[in-house]
Amino acid sequence: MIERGQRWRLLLVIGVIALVWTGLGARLAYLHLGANDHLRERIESIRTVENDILVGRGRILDRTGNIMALDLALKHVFVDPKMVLESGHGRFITAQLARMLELDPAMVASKVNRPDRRFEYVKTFVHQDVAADIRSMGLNGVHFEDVSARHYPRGVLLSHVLGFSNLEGVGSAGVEQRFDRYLKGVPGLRITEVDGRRREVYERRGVDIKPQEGADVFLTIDQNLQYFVERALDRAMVDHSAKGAWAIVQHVRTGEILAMAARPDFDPNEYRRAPEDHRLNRTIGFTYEPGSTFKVAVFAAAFNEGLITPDEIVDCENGRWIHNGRPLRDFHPYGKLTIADALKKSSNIAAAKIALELGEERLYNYLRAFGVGRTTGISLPGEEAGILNPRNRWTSLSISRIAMGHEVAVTSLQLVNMLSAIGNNGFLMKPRVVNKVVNIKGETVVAVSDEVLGRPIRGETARLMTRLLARITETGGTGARARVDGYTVAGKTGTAQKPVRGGYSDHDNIASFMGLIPAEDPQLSIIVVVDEPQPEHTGGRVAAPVYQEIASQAVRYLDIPPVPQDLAARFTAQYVERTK
Amino acid sequence: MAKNRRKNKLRVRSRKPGVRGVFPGTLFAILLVLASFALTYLYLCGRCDALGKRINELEKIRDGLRRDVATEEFKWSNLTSPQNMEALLKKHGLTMTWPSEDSVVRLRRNPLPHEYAEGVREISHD
Repeated sequence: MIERGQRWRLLLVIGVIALVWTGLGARLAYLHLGANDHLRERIESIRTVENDILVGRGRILDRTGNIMALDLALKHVFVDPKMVLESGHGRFITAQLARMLELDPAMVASKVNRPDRRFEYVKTFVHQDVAADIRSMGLNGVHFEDVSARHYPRGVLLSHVLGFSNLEGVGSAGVEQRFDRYLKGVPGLRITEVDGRRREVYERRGVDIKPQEGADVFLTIDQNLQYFVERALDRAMVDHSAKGAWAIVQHVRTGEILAMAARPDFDPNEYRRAPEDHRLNRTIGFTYEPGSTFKVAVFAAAFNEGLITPDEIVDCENGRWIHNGRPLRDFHPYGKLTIADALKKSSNIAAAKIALELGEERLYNYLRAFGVGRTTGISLPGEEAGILNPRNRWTSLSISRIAMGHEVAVTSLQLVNMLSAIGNNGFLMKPRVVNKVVNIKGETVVAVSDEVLGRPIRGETARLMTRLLARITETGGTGARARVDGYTVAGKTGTAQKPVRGGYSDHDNIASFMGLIPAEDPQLSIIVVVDEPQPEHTGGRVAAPVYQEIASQAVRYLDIPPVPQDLAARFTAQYVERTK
Repeated sequence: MAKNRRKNKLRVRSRKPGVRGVFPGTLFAILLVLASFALTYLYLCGRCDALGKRINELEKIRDGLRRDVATEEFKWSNLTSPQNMEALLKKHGLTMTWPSEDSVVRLRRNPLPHEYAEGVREISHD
């Protein structure tokens, strides 16, 4: 039996508990049902998380699928100096970090020996493997931060074409810039709620817009060919103490650029350290007076108009000719030459006389048709149009100067494209560095196809020009050093003095060579330009050997067989006979 | 009235002494349904929670795998780069050169350009 006193105490306890529960219930009811919008909003704002789901940029790959640029998961390694020092292993940890991260131990020590600090970066953008090795050592006070960074595994290789993306992930040069909208993708959005430990409560995920990963850009460039070209340019820079050198390898029929390189170069992984000048893609962003390589356009125009024939005689005036009161000189003096020989010997006087016969209007129109004075439209930023003054700004001397590649400025891309047109039966193709853009699902978003820009000359003229240009690499021609064993090269040398205030420099030149290989059935068009070579300075001596080095490897690598020489010779002889 | 009173008396009398009455069947059924709803809700809630956590984990694994794929691709790309090939050749003291054109045996001939093909045909007819 419960006594009366106990009963009262029991009732009191029950009453208190009931009161507490009633109070809690009332409070709960008030919170849920009452007008507490401000409280609800506050709680919701604490629990609701809005995340932009960032996506990595797409990759850039060469024509065979080798990765040239990608987003890589990396780690920043940082230390808590106080914790490291308190662990009593400060020196050991410092030594290990310096060894693993390939850093100067003194530099690491200077970061670790700061007991007043709780955070010091030791090295940023460390590869996962290295970070994993450090983590496995279980060093006290060493921590890691996940980051994603744009990485260019080949370093300087193809740097001018690839460009770079800045720290905000925005393409800022080269393909990275031009194809930024495809590469960067579309970030997603997720609005969700988190629990007390800030872990996402999946079933409370409200908005979930999936991100669209950046698409992959496939280039027309071949990384191995690019490597051959860059190695040849590096050698040329050293051998000729040059200020710069650049080269392009183009597929004649399609206009695809197989290799495009320039020196000086830069490492896109560390683009901020590169001087502005090193970032310039000289193949498309540097214009210069082309010199003799430009004669190709003048001769082609005259042949196309039927004004000259290869066997016609032209007087080269023994190397000095006065035109409109001003002398015009040849590098070597020549008397009377056939047109074919004048091209082979690269006579300035012959070129000027042919241009005069052609007339200003026709010359101007042909040059425009060959793409001089306007951009080619290649998908790279920073392409220069060059300079071809309108005809009304030509002086009486202009026509003779333009004929020998002066008073006009071009990019190397324009020149090689012009030569490709000659190798391509007169069809001028649009040069391109990108083949296609493929999204994450493997669907082709952009397919870049071959595009004909025009046909400045007839096929017959183009073939004639190719045969005449092939003589330039024969013995006695200016480009004999460009010869490739087993193949015929149709090319043209160029040596242009650099313009200085009030005239032309006596010692600074631009040496160049451009050529088609194999001449009988041109597949590749290659141009090599060397800026301010010393002490040799002519295109034949400086640029032609570099061409030979690139072309001989390119034909082997691409398995371009030579046209059987016996057939080629017999057919050429027959063709010449027939045209007579 | 008298008849009803008698009926009630009979009802009262029919109960066993000490028995308070049976729990109403309908209420029991309602409570059972509610309880099963509540239990089902709790089960589904728990299941959703578990699945949500699993999805979160899988999403993290997927992201990790994507990172790993990128890292492996990067490594493979480095291994197959011409720079690496050259460095390896150098390391092992190997010198490689292209064969001269006359050392190359081709199993196919160059497809001749149209005008050459025509020319060759004419030559063969001569």
